[in-house]
Amino acid sequence: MMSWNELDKKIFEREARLPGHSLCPGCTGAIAERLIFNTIKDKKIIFHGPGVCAGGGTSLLKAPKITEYLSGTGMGPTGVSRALKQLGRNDVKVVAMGGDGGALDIGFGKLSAAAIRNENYLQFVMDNEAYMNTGIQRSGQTPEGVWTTTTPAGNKTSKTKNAPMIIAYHYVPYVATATVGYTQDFINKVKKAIDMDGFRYIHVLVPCPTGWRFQTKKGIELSRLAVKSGIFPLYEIDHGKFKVTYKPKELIPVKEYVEEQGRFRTLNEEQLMDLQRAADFYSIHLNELDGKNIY
Amino acid sequence: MNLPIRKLLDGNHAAAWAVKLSRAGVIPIFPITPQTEVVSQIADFVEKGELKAEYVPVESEHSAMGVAASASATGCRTFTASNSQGIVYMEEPIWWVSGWRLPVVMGIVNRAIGFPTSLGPDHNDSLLQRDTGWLQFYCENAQEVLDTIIQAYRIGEDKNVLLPVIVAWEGFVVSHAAMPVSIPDQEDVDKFLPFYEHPYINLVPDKYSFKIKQIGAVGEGTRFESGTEWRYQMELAHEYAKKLIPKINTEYGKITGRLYGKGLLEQYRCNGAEAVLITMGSITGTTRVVIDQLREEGKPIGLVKLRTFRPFPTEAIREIGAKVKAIGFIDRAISQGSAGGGPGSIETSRALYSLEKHPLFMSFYCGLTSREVTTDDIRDIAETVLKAAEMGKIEKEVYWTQLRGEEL
Repeated sequence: MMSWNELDKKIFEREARLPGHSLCPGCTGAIAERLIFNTIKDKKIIFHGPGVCAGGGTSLLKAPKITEYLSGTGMGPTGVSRALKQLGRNDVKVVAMGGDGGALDIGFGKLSAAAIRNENYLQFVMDNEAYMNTGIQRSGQTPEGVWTTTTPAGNKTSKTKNAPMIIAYHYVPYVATATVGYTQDFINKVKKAIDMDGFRYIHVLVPCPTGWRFQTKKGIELSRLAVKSGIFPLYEIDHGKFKVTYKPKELIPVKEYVEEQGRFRTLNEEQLMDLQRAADFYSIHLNELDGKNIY
Repeated sequence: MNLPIRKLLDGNHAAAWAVKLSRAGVIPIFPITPQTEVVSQIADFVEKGELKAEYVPVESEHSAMGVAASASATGCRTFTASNSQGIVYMEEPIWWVSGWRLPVVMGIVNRAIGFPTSLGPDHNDSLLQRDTGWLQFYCENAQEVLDTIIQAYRIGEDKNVLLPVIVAWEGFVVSHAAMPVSIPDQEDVDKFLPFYEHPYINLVPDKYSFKIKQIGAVGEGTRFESGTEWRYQMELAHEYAKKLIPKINTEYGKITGRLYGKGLLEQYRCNGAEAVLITMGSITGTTRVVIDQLREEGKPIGLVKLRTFRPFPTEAIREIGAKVKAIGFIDRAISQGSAGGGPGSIETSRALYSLEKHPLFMSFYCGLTSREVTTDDIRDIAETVLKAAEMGKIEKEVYWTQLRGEEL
């Protein structure tokens, strides 16, 4: 493992992006985008969601960018990558940035269709677990018991879908989960994915100070708590081979993750138990899969 | 000029041939009755290597247009086709494509929109797009479908137009009716239709540009602040297209020997006519027969076929309106609760209003939601218009022809 200083030097030899962004203070999405685009040095075309959260930070990036409407994730990059193929431009990579709302809620059908066609591009989903750009509205990825402006008494939908595994079972070349608290893990996955062909999917957990109601300085800490509590395990599926890329020695209680966030104020005891059970089950299940071929 | 091949083709296969001749590069398309043969024939061309294109079997029409948009912005000529429910479903990207000034060409194999559900034709699916900024052509038969698609690329890709184009032909009546279709030589088409390159938009990194000269950046940069100017420029593009289409019609005519009137519309036996019928699409063919019969009988009646609905040939319609006593517009599309008649009637009467002395004007709903249109139906309409021209007055503004049971 490299030291922070070495890592720092290595990544930021040359910044891919101009300083500043139009995101909220403390946004971990800005950090994620910075990591992504400092890692991807290839010629590229970026397709991002219309909202600021999913790729709005890329506006200061020196690369061609295009955005369509909210559900555009999946089809927009398909068009770009097919056109590049037709023009014989294999040197140009296509990178898509979607949000959990755009990619996994309203645009999930299109994402699934792009995955099953094995379209040649790298899809990032910046999952902040609600429609944050427009002011914290519930999405399909909002966890149980969470307050949003459209679920004032807590989200009543019981479970969120396991998007990375659903995409994986489209039998795509590469699926991974990543978050900003584990930088080297994140970078490794981006590096691996960008050099592959076919549909690649990286699900990024992006703690959102504005929507999750926590102090702006705590973004990295929360992303780590999510991993350590088993809420957001880090793994990759490389051509069907499953690998847990970070194993916490012992899982911390989900309560510690929940307590840090104001959005869980509407969570009741029963719902907390549910979250704990899901995290436990998920971790055991994934550890069983570790090192195995799942497809 | 090489001798053209003649093949027995229906409207859908003719469209696929046109796409092949036009060398479309990316073709995202979702099947829907009665458009499916366009998809299968294109897939066949691509599989056999006769058309070197990226055929994308998308999961919905909404995605078809979305893929077409980004592929066109990346620098490929694109084609898609749909109709009815599919068009309504892709409404969102339809606006984006014209707003981005991307010359995508879309075939609409007209089918009535449900409810009432029908597989047969009327013009509502394409006419619903009249405000979106797309150019619109209506075809009478398979030959015209082939010729119009090739012309559509040339017109849409013109640097002073840069707008997407709808080429519409009616389901079954044109899409499944075979006729000997003359297929122009590939070399001639290549000369007529140069390699596609958007002058302002290209996403490929070393050619990157996403600007339309007069205004600034598209997408993120162009927001509501310059929206009015943006729309105004699109309007100018329509005005330009109105002048360009007749020229392209002539140029194409020189290559193939086929002319479609003067490009925007065609006048059929209008010399000395006191009454004219205005039609769009396949009804034109039926109406020609009736006009011939009536002219034999010495009745002063003519026919005007609207080839383009967008841009609307206002000046040409006015010119005709100034010469005749009565005009009847046959609407194969509904505009429920309108000022009178379907979209075609509303547009035509607006065009005529500016005349100092306008002719009598009547709307005739005919062939709605796939009802078959016969020569008898058209004859009834023609006689009503002739009578109005003779009497100098109309009995009714809107006629619901083919109505079963009592009129309420």
